[in-house]
Amino acid sequence: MELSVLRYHTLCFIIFLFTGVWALYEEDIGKFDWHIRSIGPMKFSFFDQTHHTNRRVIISSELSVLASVTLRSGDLVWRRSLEEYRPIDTVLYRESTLITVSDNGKVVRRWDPESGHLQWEMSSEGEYETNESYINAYLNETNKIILLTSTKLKYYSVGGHLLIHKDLNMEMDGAVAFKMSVLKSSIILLLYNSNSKSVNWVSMLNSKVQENGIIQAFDNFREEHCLLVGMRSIVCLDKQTAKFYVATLEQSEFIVYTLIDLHIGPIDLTEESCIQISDHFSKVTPRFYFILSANRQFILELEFSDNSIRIVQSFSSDNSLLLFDDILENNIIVFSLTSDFTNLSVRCYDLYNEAYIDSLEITLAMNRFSGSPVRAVPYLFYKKGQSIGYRIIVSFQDGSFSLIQQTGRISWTRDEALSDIVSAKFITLSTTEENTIYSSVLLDSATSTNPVEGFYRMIYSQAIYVRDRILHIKQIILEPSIYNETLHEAIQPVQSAAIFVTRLGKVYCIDSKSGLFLWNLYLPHLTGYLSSIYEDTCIIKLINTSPESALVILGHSNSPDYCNGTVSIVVNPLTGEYMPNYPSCLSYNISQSVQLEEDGKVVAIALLDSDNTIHIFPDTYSLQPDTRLFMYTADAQTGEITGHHFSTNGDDTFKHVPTWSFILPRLREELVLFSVKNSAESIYANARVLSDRSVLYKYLNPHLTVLITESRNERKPCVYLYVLDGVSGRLIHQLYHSNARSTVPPILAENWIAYQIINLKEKRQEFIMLEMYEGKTVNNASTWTSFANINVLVLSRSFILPGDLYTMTVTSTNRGITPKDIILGFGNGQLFSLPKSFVEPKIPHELSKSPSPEPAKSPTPKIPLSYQRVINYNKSIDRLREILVAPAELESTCSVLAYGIDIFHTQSSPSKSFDKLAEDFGYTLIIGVLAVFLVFSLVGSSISVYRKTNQNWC
Amino acid sequence: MSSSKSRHSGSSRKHKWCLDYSNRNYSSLPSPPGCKTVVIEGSSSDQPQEQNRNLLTKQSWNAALAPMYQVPMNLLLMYMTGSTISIYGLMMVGILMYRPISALLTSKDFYKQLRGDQKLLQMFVYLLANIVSLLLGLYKCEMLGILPIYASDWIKFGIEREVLEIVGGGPILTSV
Repeated sequence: MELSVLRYHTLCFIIFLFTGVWALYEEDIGKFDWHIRSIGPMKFSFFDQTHHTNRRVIISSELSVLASVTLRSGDLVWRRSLEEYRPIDTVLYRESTLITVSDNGKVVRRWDPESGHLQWEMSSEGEYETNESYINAYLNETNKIILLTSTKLKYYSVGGHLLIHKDLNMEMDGAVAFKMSVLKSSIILLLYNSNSKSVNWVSMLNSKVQENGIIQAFDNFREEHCLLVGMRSIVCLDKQTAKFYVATLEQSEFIVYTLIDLHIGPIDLTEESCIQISDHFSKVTPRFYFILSANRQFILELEFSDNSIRIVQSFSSDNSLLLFDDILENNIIVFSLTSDFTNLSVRCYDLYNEAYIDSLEITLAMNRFSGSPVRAVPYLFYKKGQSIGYRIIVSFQDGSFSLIQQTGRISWTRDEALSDIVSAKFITLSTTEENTIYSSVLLDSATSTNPVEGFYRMIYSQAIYVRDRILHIKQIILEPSIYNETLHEAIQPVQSAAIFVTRLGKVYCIDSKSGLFLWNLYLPHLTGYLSSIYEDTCIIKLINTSPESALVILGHSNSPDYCNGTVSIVVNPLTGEYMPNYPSCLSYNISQSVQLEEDGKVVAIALLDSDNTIHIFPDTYSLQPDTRLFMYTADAQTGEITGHHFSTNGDDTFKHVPTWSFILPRLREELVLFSVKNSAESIYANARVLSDRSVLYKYLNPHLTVLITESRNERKPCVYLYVLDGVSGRLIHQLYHSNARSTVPPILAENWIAYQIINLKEKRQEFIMLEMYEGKTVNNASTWTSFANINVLVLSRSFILPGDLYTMTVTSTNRGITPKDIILGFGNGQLFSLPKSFVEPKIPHELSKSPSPEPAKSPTPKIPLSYQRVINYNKSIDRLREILVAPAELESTCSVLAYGIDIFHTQSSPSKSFDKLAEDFGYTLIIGVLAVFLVFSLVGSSISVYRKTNQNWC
Repeated sequence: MSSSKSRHSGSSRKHKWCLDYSNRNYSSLPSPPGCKTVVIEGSSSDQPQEQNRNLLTKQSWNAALAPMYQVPMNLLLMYMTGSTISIYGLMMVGILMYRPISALLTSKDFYKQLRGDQKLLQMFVYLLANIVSLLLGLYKCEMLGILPIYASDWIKFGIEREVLEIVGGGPILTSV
């Protein structure tokens, strides 16, 4: 008895030892941050039935991500992000075996479906590289993985051993495999020999060749339009002549059927038209089916006796149609899914009995526009009363996928478009009219030069805010019915939102404070502009027009029928509703843009088109005649950076004068990275204080741009850095690093430039900081012009970067008082916040009269990156692409948003939250103490009056 | 006590008893034993007058030089508090600065108290001593580094420069 108690205590003690440890107070997790984890648009999907209580769905996405989600809610159970450069070719799944084949069949991995752990990996990296056009894999009944590529046939055991490796190219005399059919241990391969124009077939049993033969191919033979039906017949479609070619393996020539003869035609055979066969079709003997997809879809049956083809069922629909099937015992059900964007209807066709099952037909109302369905995976099962039930996972054009139940409802939807973001931007929006006044007053107080006026405005804005709160509380008390979540959200004074434009044409607006989705739009024709330097980009600008602001998104149109030029989307940033009186399509292609400001607010955008003509958007805005408008464009192909000057002709036209050009030696250098200074940056101090209390004035050129080029000579890799003035084209500084490459866009802020290089000689990454100064005296204190001749003093220092840097940015706050932090995003998905003062260059001794040298915070050449500086604790960001930063309401904080496949948002306080009460501030203690003091003073005063009277009496 | 009590209720009630000194003639009373009211003869003679004047001048000089006497003491205190910013150091600087400033502000009252023919010189010395104390205070402030006399103390008040040009640009966006 005592022993069992002791054991129990020991067990409790051991359990007590295993507690979760986080990098911050546990109660703070998710308080200031939010994290969206995505998978990507669905490519392969399987219903995992091994867990009877907690059923799951295994998803593999277009972005090479493997994940498992719960069937009940669609929540992520586990996710594995595989290499981006090694796309997943195929996924195999049966019971507890989950296999992925990646990178043209080079890498085979087995995963544990329950935990997502990698069980084994077989890689054939070192083998002879060929470009495989065909990859197919099977997991047969004997638990062997058969992998066929165009030139290789491999057998793997589920334990992770390579059993057989055949090089088909060598054995089959240059023939290329294009089809495989597997039935238990026997397989049949089809290979095409382009020299002899013949189809070779090989029948194998346990990898030993049993039979083989040759069939003479026809003229327009295309491998991708052929099928192997029922392990014995080849069916090919010739789209040009609209004919079927059928041959059994024993024959040496094809039999020809025209589609008209088969009563199929006339149909439109386009590039997308194809014939396909499902794995299930081969399991039903002795009947052999395949599907012809064109503008109509047909299920056809191949009669084995005479190789004739017959139509089983034809499906025609004006709307988008998707056919897919599943097997339940020997019963193949073909599902037809039609969508007219508002309704989704599912019909089930029993292939064996050749009849529709009316009881399984459902129609669902779609509450949002998602485009047409792209892929669907069904799962058939028997319900309690032996009736058939099903579930379907459908993926749509906008990247989302949903689980449809037979009861006619959508269980859940995962919106996966956010996994591939083209452009993102922070915008500030005010929700109500009062709040607009509040925020504008607050903004005025921030920009006001007179401190008394600023103080008054601040108090005034606070009074408006308090009034709003009181009105709000009154509303809750008087009319509690209308109080809901949206109203609660609407009372927030200044909302900052993040706008995302995704590759699939979806636009999202997410409240950056809470991570709530405010609105989203699906625009199938919108894509990002391409650039040789940026991967993809869109122009996102918030224009302050009266009476309300407008969000402008400009992107490239992927469909010339819709718009032959630039797609323009102008919406209300609060609601996502389209604003009237704006064009949806601009007739020109934009090559660059610049925002036009009035009183610190963006009021219009000047767009430069490919013919160097300026267009003002919106066209109702007219530019001041004395505006000195300059633009420059960098052409990575020619290596030419050209500057332009535009002056108004008095009307809406502009005079264009090319002003400068900077030509890179095209044969020697290639433009790889480009950074432009952020015009909205607020700068607090215009000088740096030295240790002798003298100042060194910063070179605060707002028109700076940085180019990084790499050598085209692969034997001598080197990096060149040029700092240019965008107005005058003046070369301010240039640098050269030999044996180096650069992959991260440089940071340009205030008077400094930070950039990364990969030192190929030392095999490490380095971080270089350049600071530019005007000198001990300021050149012109009242105005800034780029044409002034200023000698720039450049100080530099380089550091060793311990990690694989992907991207970096710098924090920015409302008034720029808070010292800046550099946020470094690493390949492992971690974000480090590094104080800029740690990486400042040393001031030369001759500049300072101080007897002691200028103190440096970081005496070591290695950047001190301790894990306490990680701002996203364990919420790592997969395939990190960019970090965005925007000032928050408080001076001490700024919003940081990082995205890759995941999105992570947090609030960063580079100098701790000096203008905010601590989270654990004792409000109750303060109020309690105050109350006690009040009571004491009241009691004390009455006692003192009493005593005084008594004293007077004595 | 009893008289005041009677005074309070005097109008309404009749006094039981009362002590009234108002109508007594004091001059007619004899002096108490050992005291005699006699006017001293010869108080207006020259020598004692000269002595008085000297005494007044001496007194005025003492008063005028008082701030000067504090200077060494202040120097010692300044040395003792060191050159780091601390609460004691700041308090000391506060006192050091407050004394001469308040003395200078109330110097008019002080000048009225001065007697004698060296009044101007005394005024000058007093002024000088206070200025010296003030300078000492300022020197201490400078030593502590709290005197805004360097350019670095004024950079936050630099005017934002008006930018004359608008520029934008970057890599050409292509649609291919």
